[in-house]
Amino acid sequence: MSWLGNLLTALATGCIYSIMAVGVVLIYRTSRVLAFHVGEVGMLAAYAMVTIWTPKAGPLQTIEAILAGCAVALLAGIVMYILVERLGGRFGHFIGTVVTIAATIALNGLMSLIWGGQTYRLPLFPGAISVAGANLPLQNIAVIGISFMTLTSIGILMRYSALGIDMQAIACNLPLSRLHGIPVQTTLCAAWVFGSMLAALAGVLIASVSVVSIEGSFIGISAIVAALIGGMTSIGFAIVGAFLLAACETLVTMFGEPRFTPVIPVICLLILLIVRPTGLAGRSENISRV
Amino acid sequence: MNKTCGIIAAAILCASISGADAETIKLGYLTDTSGPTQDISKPSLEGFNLYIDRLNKAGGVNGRKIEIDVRDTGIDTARAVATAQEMIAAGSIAIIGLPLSTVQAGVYAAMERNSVPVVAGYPSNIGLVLPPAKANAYATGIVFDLAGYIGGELARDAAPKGKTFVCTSFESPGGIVSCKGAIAAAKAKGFEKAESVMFPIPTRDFRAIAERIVSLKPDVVLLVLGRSRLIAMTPALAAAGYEGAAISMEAGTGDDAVREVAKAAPKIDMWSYTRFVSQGYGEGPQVTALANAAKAAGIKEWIQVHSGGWALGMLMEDVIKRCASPCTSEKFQQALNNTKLDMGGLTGAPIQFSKDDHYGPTTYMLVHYDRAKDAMVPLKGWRNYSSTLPKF
Repeated sequence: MSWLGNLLTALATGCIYSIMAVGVVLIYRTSRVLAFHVGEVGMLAAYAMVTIWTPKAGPLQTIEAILAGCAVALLAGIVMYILVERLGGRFGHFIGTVVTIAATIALNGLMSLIWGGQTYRLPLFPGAISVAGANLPLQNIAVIGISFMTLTSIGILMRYSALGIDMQAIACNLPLSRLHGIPVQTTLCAAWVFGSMLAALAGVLIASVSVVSIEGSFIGISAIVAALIGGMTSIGFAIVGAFLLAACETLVTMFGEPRFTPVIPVICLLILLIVRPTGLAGRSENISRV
Repeated sequence: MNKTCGIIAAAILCASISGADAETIKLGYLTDTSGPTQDISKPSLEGFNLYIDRLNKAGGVNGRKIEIDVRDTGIDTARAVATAQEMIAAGSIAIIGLPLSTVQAGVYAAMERNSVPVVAGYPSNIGLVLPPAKANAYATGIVFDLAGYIGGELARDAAPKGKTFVCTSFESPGGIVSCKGAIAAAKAKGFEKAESVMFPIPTRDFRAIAERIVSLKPDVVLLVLGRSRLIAMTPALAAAGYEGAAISMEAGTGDDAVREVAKAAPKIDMWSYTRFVSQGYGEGPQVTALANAAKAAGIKEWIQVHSGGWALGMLMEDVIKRCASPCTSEKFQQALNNTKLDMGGLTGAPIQFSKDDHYGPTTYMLVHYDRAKDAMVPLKGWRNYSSTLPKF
């Protein structure tokens, strides 16, 4: 058993959960809506990509495929913003969450209709390298690298860009942000689009290490649990939650009984509710920032 | 007056005779065209429809047309049972299709109360059809208990000097009994170590599972996965460094998927074993007929699931031929109980049902992926297996 291989697998899984969990936190903190549809957006983007991309694809075709994935994410973000904020906003945040649940059903149906439930491979990073006798798949290394760059960029964007600061302001106090002249609707739309983009990236990455399939959207649940473990108030703690969840899942699969992995998120949540009900961040919502 | 009455009476008699000639046999076909197993269910229905369309175009069975009432039930048992009841109320004399074991038990039980026969098609069936069979339960696909045991035996052919055998599947009733049977057979065939690695149904990321399998150092791995999971698992095994033999149980997987994963895992020696033939091997009049029909329908590559669907169509024609008009559920079941139908090359044995055995003897073929030819090549032809489940 290669401990290095297992470590990389757990890290790569944690990275993928992190990206999607950050998207969930971004949407929640700005719109107060729990985005249940992120897994489906991820798989939709992966399906769009695999429709264009083939293992023998050249650079141009690869760029086209990436653009297709981005277009799907952009569209999903804008449509969800319109549905939740513009049309459903007056009904409250709970209805917004219900809209995202409805979106999961609709997106599942859409994928079924277009791709007929087919499963496709998306081997973006084939091959492996051997280190100290251990076989290390390149896909895990690539996923870790891409995730590190993405999460670092998000951190910089949130802290130093005008858009990031506007998002933080809205997360802290929406009415006050409006009084200060922050373009609230534009910023909210950007948050939904960012959330969708991150979901799409995570969807494509999980598809590249497994397959593109409708059931792959199950990853959304893991991301939501990771965000909940983090407390829903902090990007940093959502990432910690994601790695904690991935580590537990990998450990149980490798050294325990793989059949019990679906209950790991539930157990993690239960322990958290008992020990630290406000999540790892331990901050109540009204004084916290994105 | 008498003349007029005579003409009217003659007209009524003629009408009733022509009505009898034009009798339509209605069958209810339950399937999944929207749920998670539609990639398996659709080709099965496609193969069935190809046969029935051809039959109806040629005038039906002794002038009787077959009307198929196809309904999508996903893999929801409650929906499948309710839909089956509706179909019976609407005039279907039997329920067929049900290509996945998940909903079969519920439908068999519900239809037993209505005294309606249920014939489950390819790929997967449950053991209720094996002797002593449940009264109204029939099947033409693979019974997992039996197929798993056969897989364990065939593992010896894939790894003649192998010492360690691993069976992997997802945690469904079919997967569990398959691996149980496979382990018993592998031990009987001389494997020193035989283990199973089961994983939850929602699993889509197989990297950690593959690492776990590789850590057991197997010489051969039996993959009871179905199509989508095979496509995900095999490359994960390769990425984890596995370089032994892998045998895929053909349960709706399709040779195209086996070839695809074999290319993605160049160091794995890829095998499959199957009850029905696929495009590229097998010969006989029905194989030719299916190939022609598939070509005319624009199907790029027909796979085992198409053969299974076509076989179900053949069975329906044969039973209706022997079902005297008006063909009721009771007469249909009587005809089913006396079935012996040559498959014309689609599989090695006839479909054979009796009063107590609603499955019959089956044949399986071990097929090897030839990298040079990029094709699946049969090994040693058909092997015979009885419907009596070995004790394990």
